Order: sequence, then C-alpha cells, then structure tokens
Amino acid sequence: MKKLLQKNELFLVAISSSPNSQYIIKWAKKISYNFKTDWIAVYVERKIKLSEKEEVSLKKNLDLARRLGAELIITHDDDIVSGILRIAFQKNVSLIVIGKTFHKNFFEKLTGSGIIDRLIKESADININVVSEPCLKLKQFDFLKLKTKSSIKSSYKEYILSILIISLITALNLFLSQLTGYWTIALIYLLIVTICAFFLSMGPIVLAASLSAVLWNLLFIPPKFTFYIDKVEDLFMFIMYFIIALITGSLTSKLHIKEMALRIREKRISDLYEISAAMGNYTEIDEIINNSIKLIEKFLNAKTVFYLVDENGSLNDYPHKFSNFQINDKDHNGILWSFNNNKESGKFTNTLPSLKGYYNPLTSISEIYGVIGFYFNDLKSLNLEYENFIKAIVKMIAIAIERFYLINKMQNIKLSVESERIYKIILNSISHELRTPLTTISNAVSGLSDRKMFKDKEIRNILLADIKESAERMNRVVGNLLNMARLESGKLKLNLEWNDINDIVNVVQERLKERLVKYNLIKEISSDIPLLYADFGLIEQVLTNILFNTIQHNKEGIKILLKIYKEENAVYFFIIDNGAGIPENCLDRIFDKFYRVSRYKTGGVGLGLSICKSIIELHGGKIFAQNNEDKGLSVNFYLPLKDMNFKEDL
Amino acid sequence: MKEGLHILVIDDELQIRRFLKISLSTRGFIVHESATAEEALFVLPTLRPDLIILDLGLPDIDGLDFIKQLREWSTVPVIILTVKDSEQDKISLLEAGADDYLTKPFSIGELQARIKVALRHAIGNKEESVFISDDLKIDYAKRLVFIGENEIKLTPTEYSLLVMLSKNAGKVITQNQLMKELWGPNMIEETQYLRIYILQLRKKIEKEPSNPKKILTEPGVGYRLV
Repeated sequence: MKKLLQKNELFLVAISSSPNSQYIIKWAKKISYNFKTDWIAVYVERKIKLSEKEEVSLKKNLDLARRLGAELIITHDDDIVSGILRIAFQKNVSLIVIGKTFHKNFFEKLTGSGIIDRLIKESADININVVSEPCLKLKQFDFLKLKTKSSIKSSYKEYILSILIISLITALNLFLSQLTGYWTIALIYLLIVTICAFFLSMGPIVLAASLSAVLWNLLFIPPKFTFYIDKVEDLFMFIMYFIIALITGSLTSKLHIKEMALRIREKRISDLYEISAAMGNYTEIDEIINNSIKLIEKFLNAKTVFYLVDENGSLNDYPHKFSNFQINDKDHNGILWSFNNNKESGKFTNTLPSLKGYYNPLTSISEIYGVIGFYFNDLKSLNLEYENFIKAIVKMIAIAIERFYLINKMQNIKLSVESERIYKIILNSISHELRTPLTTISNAVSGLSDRKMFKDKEIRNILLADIKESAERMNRVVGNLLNMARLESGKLKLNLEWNDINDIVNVVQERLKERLVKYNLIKEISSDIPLLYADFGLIEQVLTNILFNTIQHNKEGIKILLKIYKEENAVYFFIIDNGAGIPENCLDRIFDKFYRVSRYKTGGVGLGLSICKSIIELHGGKIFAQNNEDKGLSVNFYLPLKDMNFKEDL
Repeated sequence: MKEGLHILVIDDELQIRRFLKISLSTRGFIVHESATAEEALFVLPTLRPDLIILDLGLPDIDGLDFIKQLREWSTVPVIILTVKDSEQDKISLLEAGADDYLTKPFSIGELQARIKVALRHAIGNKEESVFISDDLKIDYAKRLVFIGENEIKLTPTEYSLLVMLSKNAGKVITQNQLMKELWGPNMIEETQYLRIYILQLRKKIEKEPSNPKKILTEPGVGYRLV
C-alpha cells in the first residue's frame, strides 16, 4: 500500500479562521514530523472582511502554523477551492489536509457543493486527507449577514456615484427614447451597469442594476411613467433584465477583484525578488544594513532601526549607526523583549502594542542576530498579507547578516590555520637550522678539548674552520628570520636615500669575499646609472641573498655575471649564472616563504628569496627568475628610478 | 705605542668582556672591565683609560646618554659595538661623540685596526701640513693633491670633502657631519649632493672608481678614508 506521503513530497494544509484549524495544524505537524516532509499552510483571503474575533483567531492559527515550521502562503481568491488548488498545483504538493467542518456555512450546506466535495473532484491526482476535528465552533456564518456586511463596508461614495451615473444615463435615455424603442434603452442600461462593474464594488452594482431596472420599467416600458407592465413579454423582459444586470454586474465585479488581487500578488513577488537580488550582493555588514534601510524606505515606506548582537551574542545597547529611526526607552523594552522571546512586538502586535515601532527579531535557522524595528510613515493597520511580506523581507535581511558572519568566521579560521602552519614551519626551521650548526660547534669544541686532536695542526684548523662557518651560518639564519619578521609585521620603515649602486655592490662583494673566491664573479655595471633612491641596507641584503643562493646551489668554478643597467625609468639587475638551473615547475615557487628546491646540506631556512621579493616590492619593483637558454639560472629584478630635484645649481 | 695603554671595556655580557680581555691583553693592552654604564662612569675619573670600548644595549643607561655625559668632560676615544641594522643608532652615537663603531660579530683584527686609528687621532692632534696614505698625498699648505707623481685637479668642494675625510683618516665620518660641514645644516637631507661628489672624487683619485680602495662606504652611516 502506498504510504500517505513519500519523503521529499510536500503537503498542504488549508487554514481558516475557525479555532478548528488549530487542531488541523497540529495534526499537520505530526504528519510532517513522521514522514519527515515539509508542509505549507494556506489561507485563502477572500474579499469578505472578517470580524475582529475572526481576525484574532486567524492570526493565532497562522502564528501557530509558522511556529510549527510551515511555509505560510496567503493568497487572494474569492473561491476557496480554486485558491487552495492553485497553490497546490503550483507547489506540486502530493497531499491536501483539510478539516471536515471547513467552511461548511449555510450557503454551502444548502447547495451541497461543499468545499470538500469540490476539492475531491478537482484535485486531479493529489491526495486529500479529511480530518475530523473535535467540535469547537465559532458561530456559523450567516449568508445574509455576509451580504449586509459587505454592503456596509463599501464606501458611501460608490453608492452615490452609482446613483449619479444611473440618473445621467436615464436622462440620456429619455432623450434617445424618441429615436429608438424601449428595448434598446434596456440594452443601454445594461451596458452602463456592466461598465460600472469595473470600478464599483458589489453593493453599488446591485443598487445600479436594481435602480436601472426600476427606472426602465417606470419611464420606458409602456405604459410609461407607471410601474404597471402591460404586455406579458415585457414582464418577462423586465425580470430577465433584472437577473442579467445582477449577474453581469457581479461577475464583472468579481473579475475586477480577482484582477486587483493578482496585481497585488504580482507586485509583492516582484518586490521580494528585487529585494532578494539586492541583498544577495552585499557581504559587508555595513553595506547590508545601509542598503536594507534604503530598500525598506522604498518598499515599505518606513524608517528602520537595527540592533545587532556583539561578539558574545548579546544585544548591543545602541543601534547600528545607519539606523534612521530614534528609539525611546519604552520602545527599547520592546526590542529587548523581541530579542529574548524571539517574537515580534510593538505596534500592530499583541505585545506592547502602544509602542511607536514594530519590532521583529532577526533570526535565521536557529541563530538570532539582533532586532529590526520599523516605523511606518503611514500605516493604519497591518493585514496578514502585508505582514507576511514584511516578514519575508526581515528573513532575507537576517540571512544576509548570517552570511556576513559566516564569511567572517571562515576567514578567521583560514587565518588561524595559516598562522598555525607558518608557526609550525618556523619552529621546525629554527629548531633544525640552528641546532645543526650548534651541534657542529659543540663537536668541534670537544674535539679541540682533546689534547691529541688539538696538537694536530691540520685537524685543529679544520675544526676551527667548522666553528667559524657554523657561527656564520647561525648568524645568517637569525638575520633572515629577523628580516622576515620585520617585513611581515609591516613595521619596517624604509630608510630611503640616494645611493651609488657601485657602493652597494662593493659592500656585498666584501661581505661574500671568502665564498666568492671560488667562483667567477663578473661585474658589468653600466656607467650612466644615476643615483638610486632606495634603502641601502635592504638592497644590499637582496644582492647578498641572491648571490649567496647562487653559490649555494652551484658547484665551484661557475661563472656569475652581475649585470646592471638603466633603461627608461628603472634600473635593471641581472644575476646570471651558468650552473645547474632550477626545474621549470619550481620556478614560481622559489620566492615563496620557506620554500627550498632540495634539502641541500648547507641550506638555510628557505627565506632568502622571499625576503628579496618583499624588499623589491616595497621599493616598487619586481623580481623574477628564469632558466637561461643554454645553461643556468637568471634572477632578475628592477627598481624604479626617482627624479632627483636639486635645490641649487651644483 | 702599544705598551701600557689602558682600555676600559663596558659590556654586560661576561663572555664578550672575557674575550676582549684575553685578546687585547695578548696584544699588550691593559684591559679593565665594567658591567654597567653607571659603574663605568664611577670608575672613569680615577682610571682615565686611553680608550673605551662600549657595547650598546646596556641595561642601565642608554648608550647615547652615556656618550653625551662623557663628552661633557672627556675627549677619550670611544668605539661602540653594535649589531647589524642599527644604522640610526650608529649615526646618532657617532654624532654625539663616539669615534668609531664595530658590528658584531667582528674579528679581533678589525677591532685592533679601529683601536689603532682611534688612538692615533686622539694622540696626534698637532697639525700636520701633509697627509700621506698609500699613493695619495695632500699638501694642506699649498692646497695640492697628488696621486703618486700626478697632480690632481679638484673643485673647491671636492677638495674640502677630501680634506675632511683625511683629517679623520681611518675613522668613520657620518654623512650628516659631512653635509653639515660642506653645505651647512640646512642641507642635511639632500644627501644626493654628497653621493655625487664622492662619485666624482672617486673617479679622480681611485684606480678603479667602481671598486674604491681609498674612500670606503660605511653603509647607511657615512664614509671612511683609508
């Protein structure tokens, strides 16, 4: 046997203002829970206005449905069945749940065209679940009461208008009656009544139809100016006319109402779409707030106040700075209440209705991000449909805010993961790169402490050389780490000065004197290079690191060409060797922190070239490396030249 | 010149004091130690050393303050021990009255050379009319400069620059000091002038201008004439 519902199917519950609906809603929740499906609660709003008692009851029902997790849909339709079915087909539901005593009013009992019967007939392959409710009843609707209610609600203006129009037409017809017969007159009246149906509501239409019939009888049907009708066919005509006028009028009126409802619905949808599209673009909290306020001004004609949560999750004491609605202490209570109870408060609600503003909590799934308050410039009452519209907007804002927090969280997590990684690498590097030379020194020293080894000149010299080299290596590692830390912290101040490039090169050469002895360094420095505006020490560091790298990576005897020349607005530096080169796929990464091509023995931490990169970029230049066509690696960088302005003539 | 000269070492690191004591005594100096600047200031008037080696980063008194205080009443030469990348410190100390500096780690040979220069300048204060270093000869009286046998023509500014360097031969002289002397205190920031003149001077008196052996650059600090 097929289950009532399959997973991922949707079902729909029809809600009315009757307290019976509460039972149905709870029943629906049970179904949803058991079958693990989502559900929709539908209320079909008709043109007929509800009494206060009914409104309150309906609101209770809707709140209940919302709280129990239903998607709430309020639709306009004078025919309940068509409204329910329209939504059902639209949302592709598999089941409709409806109470047995749903809207079984006097009229429907009479005609036997009960809602449920029609539903069953017209629901195609959607299942219908008719639920028996315990007998809680509101007073039954009275058909007659219906009619009177609606007539009272129609505005007085419309009645006067309809009387006026009929009178005018009557005058016209009196004039025309000399030209045509009284049946034509009837058609003219009919036409007018139909036209009036486009802009008058039901009550005035009925009046217009009746009035026109009476006047037609009185003034045009022979014998004229009496109510008495001579011919039998005229009597039938009179009765037919009356019925036709009524039907046409009411049908046209209904059409008009449907069209209005449709237009409202369409506008709501397009508004919501526009808002949702706009909200989708913003990821920064200030942007979200700022644009929400603008949108709310535009679509709801209201001023807004935002109270957001702080890092600990409790509500801030002061509103977001973009809010354009001032809160007094009384209203603040409403805000706090909404936050703590996750429910709306203030004007138009049951909680603190005397407040100036209408407050809603900003929640998404299970988190609350604050409270939003509206101050409507001109809103007398909040009907359900509008309330739902507002709530949809609030939801979108809450989701946008949530997105901002989630993105933030994600970035923080990324940052701390990255920090962790670098921290680990640094610790490992330091540990290894400093321990290794320390061990060498220790060993050498213990060797020297041994009398026999100390006496041997050759051994002694080797050990001393080891100690010296290890000490230098440690010095270098410490220097590199310090530089990296300074550069990373952003606290490095460039000590910019005019420098002679030759000076820098010479200092570098001097520093690396001993190592360069075994290599063939050739300098090609063009003589027309002006003074370079840069930090001497840092550029010296760059050249040192690059040359040192070249020495480390290549065996002795290779040629290193240092070529420096000026071109346009920059000075170009080329350090070209004819050694081993670097594998192509590693070329981009050699400037990364802690990257080493291979773990060679006298290696450093892998920071040398990345320090160069940072320094060059701080000076506004760029550095890159490529393998030479024939052999070896070429590391190149340029530094921009600055114009020297002389204060006086030399 | 080396016998009997007293050096006061002011350093809070025991190892460095010990190292300096051992290496300098082997070369004939009498070495005294102080672990703090206060102690040094206390001991100085009675001790009257011929040279002070001062390490920066002393815990009690800032090196700069120490030098300022010292220079109020003493002209004893001071060599400071610094770490790399402390250019600003070096400059301010040199201008406050320190004579030279050494960057750690240093070799004992370097230290000895600096000590020699500092002592020479301290002792030999009488006016020399001729300066000779390698093949460079400056006749102050006649305002003539020779490289070997060849007379070199210098512009007035170049000459003043060379003379300043030679009067402090062996010692470092900061670029601020040079700028102030040659162009006045208002031009201190315009270091490009100095660079250009050094460049021109090197072209005239150096064998290889791009690889100078006479006028050495002290990066970030100033220049030194050998």
